[in-house]
Amino acid sequence: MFGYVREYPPELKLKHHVFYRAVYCGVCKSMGQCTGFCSRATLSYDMAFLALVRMALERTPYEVIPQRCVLHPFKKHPILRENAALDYSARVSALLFHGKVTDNIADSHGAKKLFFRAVRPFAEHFRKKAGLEAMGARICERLAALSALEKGACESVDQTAEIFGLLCAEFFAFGLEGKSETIARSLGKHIGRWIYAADALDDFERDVKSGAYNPFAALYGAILSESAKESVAAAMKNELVSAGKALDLIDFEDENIKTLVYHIVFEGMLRKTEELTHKKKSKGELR
Amino acid sequence: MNSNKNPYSVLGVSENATDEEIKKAYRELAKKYHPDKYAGSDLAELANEKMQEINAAYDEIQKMRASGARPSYGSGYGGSSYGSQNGSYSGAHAADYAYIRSCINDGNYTAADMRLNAIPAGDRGAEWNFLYGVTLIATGRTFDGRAYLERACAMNPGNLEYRAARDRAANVSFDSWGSSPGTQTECTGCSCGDLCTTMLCLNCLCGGCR
Repeated sequence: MFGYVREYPPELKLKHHVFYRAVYCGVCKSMGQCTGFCSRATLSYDMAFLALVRMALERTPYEVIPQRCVLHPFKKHPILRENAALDYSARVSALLFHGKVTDNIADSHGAKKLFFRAVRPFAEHFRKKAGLEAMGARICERLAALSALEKGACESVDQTAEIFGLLCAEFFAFGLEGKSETIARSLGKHIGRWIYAADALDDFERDVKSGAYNPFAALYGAILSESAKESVAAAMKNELVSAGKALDLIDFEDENIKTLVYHIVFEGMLRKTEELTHKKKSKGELR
Repeated sequence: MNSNKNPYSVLGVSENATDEEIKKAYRELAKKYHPDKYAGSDLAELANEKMQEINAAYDEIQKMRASGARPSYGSGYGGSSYGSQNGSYSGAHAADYAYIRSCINDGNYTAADMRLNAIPAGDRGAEWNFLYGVTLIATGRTFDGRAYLERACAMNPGNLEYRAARDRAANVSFDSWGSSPGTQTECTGCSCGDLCTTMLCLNCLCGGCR
């Protein structure tokens, strides 16, 4: 489900690359400190995006310093110094992983089920260390609601995407207040809807082949025509536009964070949309 | 709202900017945060606050630079509407479809939705799918709405109204958000207003193809 919210390297300046990586590594380091060494395996770039947004909304002062990490024990790399946003993203990652494992145990069979059962003790351990029980519970609730819809072969992408959107809105906005909370909720909702659609689209062919539920298959049928793919791309872009409107209302203090966040949405996620709907664009073209 | 903010930095211009530059900056920001763009969004109130902040900053600069008429960005964005259906509907659900169209015209999507859902599944042809698609998109169901428009086109490929609406919905443009050159300058995402304008034009041109 995660891994689609990323940068687009060819259009990113090196200094922003370095900063982006520093944030990503920062989340990883936080995970190691907070939820344990193994939890780092659940790391995703989506969490780096979350950290950036939280830093922007909370106006977190930050510092990039050369640090060592387990994967690079000899040479120090620029990593963001520990801060509240990194810590928070690490915890969210653990809770999402736990939610996913619980959900998959309930829904899958055979070897897959065994795998998730085997992984469950790890997930439980991460969850315990992550804390934020209220949010963890909400994540599990939303995932259960989503499961129920999918089991019922829901024919609406909007309904299913909306649940995932609301799930993301929860952890984007958790702990924030007032204006920041409203913006984070809206941003999270649209990012979440986009992620759900991206994941469903990516799994489309595999699901149709195996007969598994896929919201786009339920809506469009077993084949997505070129025209249908274009429509789906437009709907996904619509989510990006809505996310952009939320971003426009953030009072960014830091140019690096602002540039990176906008880049991820309007270059990274936009290109990913086109890639998933098989639209090959030449470099420099936006549509 | 931070009332101590420098009005020049709110508009994103330097204190030495010319009047023209200030006007241009104001216009661009007003376009970006215009209430119509955020209509119906959960961010409408915040956007409105931002708009007020921008207006206040502009006013303050004007005052500081001695008098000058400031452009009124009035709410002259009249909502576009569907033309009344010229040709008559025929068939079993003629009255229903006429009613649904007028609901959509009035922005009464709840009523349109209900009436559409009341039509039995076996009777749902291209027109049904088209009207349902329009209704869904207007009420924020962006994925499903587009799928129904696709269905309408598939059922009746020759219908220009369906095709235009579908193409309109497939055309989401961005303004200068991305760093790539050659992007559109107007951005609204897709709204029912766009579809309505198209339908109005088509109705005038071809007297309502059916």
